[in-house]
Amino acid sequence: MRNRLSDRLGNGFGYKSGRRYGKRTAALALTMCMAVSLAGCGGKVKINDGTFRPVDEAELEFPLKEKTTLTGMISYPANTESEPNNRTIFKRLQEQTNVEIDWTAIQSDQWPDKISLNMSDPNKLTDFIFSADFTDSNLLKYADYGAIIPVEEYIDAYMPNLKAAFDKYPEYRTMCTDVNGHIWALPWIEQLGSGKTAIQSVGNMSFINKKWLDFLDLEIPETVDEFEEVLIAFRDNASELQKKFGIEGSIIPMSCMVNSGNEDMGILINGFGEGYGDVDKDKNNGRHIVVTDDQEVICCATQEGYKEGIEWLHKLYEEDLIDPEAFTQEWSTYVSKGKSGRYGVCFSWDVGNIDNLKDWVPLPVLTADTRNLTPENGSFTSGFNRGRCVVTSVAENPALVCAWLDQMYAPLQSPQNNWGTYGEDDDFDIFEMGKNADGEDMLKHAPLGDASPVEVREAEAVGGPLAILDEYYDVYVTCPDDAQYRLDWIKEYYTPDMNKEYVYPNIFMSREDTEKFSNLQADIHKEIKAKKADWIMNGFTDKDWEKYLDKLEAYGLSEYLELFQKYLDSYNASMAGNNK
Amino acid sequence: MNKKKITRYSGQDKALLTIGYILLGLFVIAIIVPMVYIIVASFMDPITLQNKGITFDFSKWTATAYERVMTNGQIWIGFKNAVIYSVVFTVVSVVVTLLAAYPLSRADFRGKGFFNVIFIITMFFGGGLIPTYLIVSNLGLVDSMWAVILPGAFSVWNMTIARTYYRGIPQELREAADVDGASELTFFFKILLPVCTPVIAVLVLWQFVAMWNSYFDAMIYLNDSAKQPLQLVLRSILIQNQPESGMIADMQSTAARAQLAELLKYATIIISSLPLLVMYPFFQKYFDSGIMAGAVKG
Repeated sequence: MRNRLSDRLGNGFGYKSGRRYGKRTAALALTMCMAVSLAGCGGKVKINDGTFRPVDEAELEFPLKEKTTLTGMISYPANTESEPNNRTIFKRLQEQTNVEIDWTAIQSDQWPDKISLNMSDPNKLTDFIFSADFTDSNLLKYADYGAIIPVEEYIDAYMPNLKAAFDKYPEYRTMCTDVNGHIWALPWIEQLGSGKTAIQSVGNMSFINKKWLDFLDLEIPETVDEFEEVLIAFRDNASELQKKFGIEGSIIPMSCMVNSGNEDMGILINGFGEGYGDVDKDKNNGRHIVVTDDQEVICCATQEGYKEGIEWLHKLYEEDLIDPEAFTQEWSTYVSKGKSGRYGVCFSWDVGNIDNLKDWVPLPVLTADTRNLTPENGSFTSGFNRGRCVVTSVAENPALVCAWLDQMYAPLQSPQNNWGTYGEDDDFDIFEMGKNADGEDMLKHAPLGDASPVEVREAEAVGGPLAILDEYYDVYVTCPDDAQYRLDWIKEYYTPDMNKEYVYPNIFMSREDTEKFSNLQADIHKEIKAKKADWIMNGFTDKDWEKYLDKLEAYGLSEYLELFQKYLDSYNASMAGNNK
Repeated sequence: MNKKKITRYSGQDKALLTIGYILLGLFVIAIIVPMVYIIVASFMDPITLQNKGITFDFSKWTATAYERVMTNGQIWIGFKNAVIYSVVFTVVSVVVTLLAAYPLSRADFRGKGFFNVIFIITMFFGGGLIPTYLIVSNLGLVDSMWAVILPGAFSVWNMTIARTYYRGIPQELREAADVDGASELTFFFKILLPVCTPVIAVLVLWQFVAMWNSYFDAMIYLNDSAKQPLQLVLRSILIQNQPESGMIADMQSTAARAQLAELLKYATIIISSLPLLVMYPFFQKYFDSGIMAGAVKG
């Protein structure tokens, strides 16, 4: 597709020559522009330099005596209501607070491109950005430019709901605070379980086809050897399986998408060696680190167990047990083969997305040298997004903005913003308003009939900053079904095997360290991914392994691990301080 | 009586012809096969398609994808907008280009070199995305269709082509017009433009196709979903955001949307390229340059 803007920019600037390059160009331009425009437009737009502006608390009592207008920016999913003030949630909020929001709404698929432009234009900037979703580096960049203001003092003074959540779970305050002690954004917190039962603790789940197992009269495998036998049975009885279940297309004993995070088969090799396994392997942001019981950060992809595990996977590949397309296929191919019922074992967040929930069961971790499951890094604190909502430097009354945003953290408001609301005029609602055991208001998930849950959620929810804590369930809100069965799986199949103490927490690096980290990670992550795929397919020798270790070292692996160690230590120190 | 002319080919000619036919045949196949694939694929269930490939067994075809596309209001809004933007853009752009090219084609226009240099500079250097955005924003164009149309309306490259074409027009035409007392305007509109139809047709086609296929400017400058052109609507159907791992709703909606995108992919390709496919034959006749014949007597 011809891109006219980039043509005008000239090929030398190459906006279309690649996303990465384009982003960097945009970032550079942004840096220059912010400096010029913020200084240049100082007269036109009042800029808040970030100093705390206290107001009388009585002025912030909702509903306000006088109707006040604030400006905000928000994203909305394509094909849903584009005027946020027409959404029931915001209509009700306006009544409750007497604050009207003048929204700039941007379709969510265009958000990343547009938000950086809007951030560079002080005339378009709004008081707050409801669904900013800034990455750490963007957050610190905008903080540096003075485009956003720190909110820690406002939280303590005017945000009782958020402050209560922070006091209850001090780790969230620690996670939001940068190295200089500032909080630049209001977080999104969604607890679904916590610690070793958190829904995020196992992203890369393995599933096995129970229907096939029963037909072939096999047990669910417990060890890697039993697992191999099961796969061989699937392979050798392919024609019977095809006939019995009317499967079109060949039988694939095991399929996956190598190096693609949740669809990878890494969970299988968790039992080899000391049992650190293969974690933190997200396609784009994989860090490949684990924390030992002595609070030491190590790279899991350089452990002996990892090496043995890859050798074993290569053996499976040689025996035609792994889908040959596993290294190249896209999500759509992966799913369409799954939907035709051709898999015996597959990997995903939820097998319902791949085939169905009825014929499949989660496959617990396999015993090899040991039996262990390493949970995902950062999962113990469940769902958390640091850069969810920011208050910008054009906000004239940040205290009011923060006080209004604090309403989103109210226990009955957060679930609605996150999932959807109750009592609308149209066909389906996510919730109905009921009573809990103590006779107080409680949001209960309502039957959706044949409406798609995703569509109803997208039509009603507004996202933004919010906090849903574990203790809310069954008091203020019921747990959503699709989360509940997954939580049950984790508790039943995986939590008992999590034998290690720690995961790497969700830390907030400084700007320099973020940059250093992404430079180091770029090479290290690429090398690990490339070798893993290559070795599963083609095998490797001890010499290859030595070379690989040397190469990672040359890419700066020790420096990389030291960086993580530094932040782990300071996180622990801060948590110890909180607990005093 | 059959008076068909029989051409006799030598062995060498025959060999050459055969090679020519084979090469052209391969070329045609290379173009036709993907088109047939897309057309057939648009009538198939994505799961069957991925597992078994395309089939000409019509009983297995479905029109589900087209039904979904037809009932998607956003696509029709996008279609309407794309037509409006493309037509207005083409008119504005071609008029501006033709007018700018004329003085620069004239040897007696003073300051020609200066304007040329200014124009050429913009071909190689741009202000960058954000400064351009700030200008458009400060002009108050954001979220109006002019933000998509005006900034790109003048194309130096197209202007150069028009200028070169003007220069190729025999000087005698101009002299004859002068003798008959035609003013510059009369000459330009009544005499020059009519003989320039081929180049105008080319410019119209280029600009129309460029605008029809573009989404980037619209994505940057337009917020209102009722103003989005077709390509932007299709983009939002086909391209999904990377889900934040751990956000439950996102995981589910991503999976659901991936399936929808898979279903609609081929049907939307057809719908969005149909207008262009229909347009080409109508423009083809203008590409013959024989239109100058008889304008000047030898």
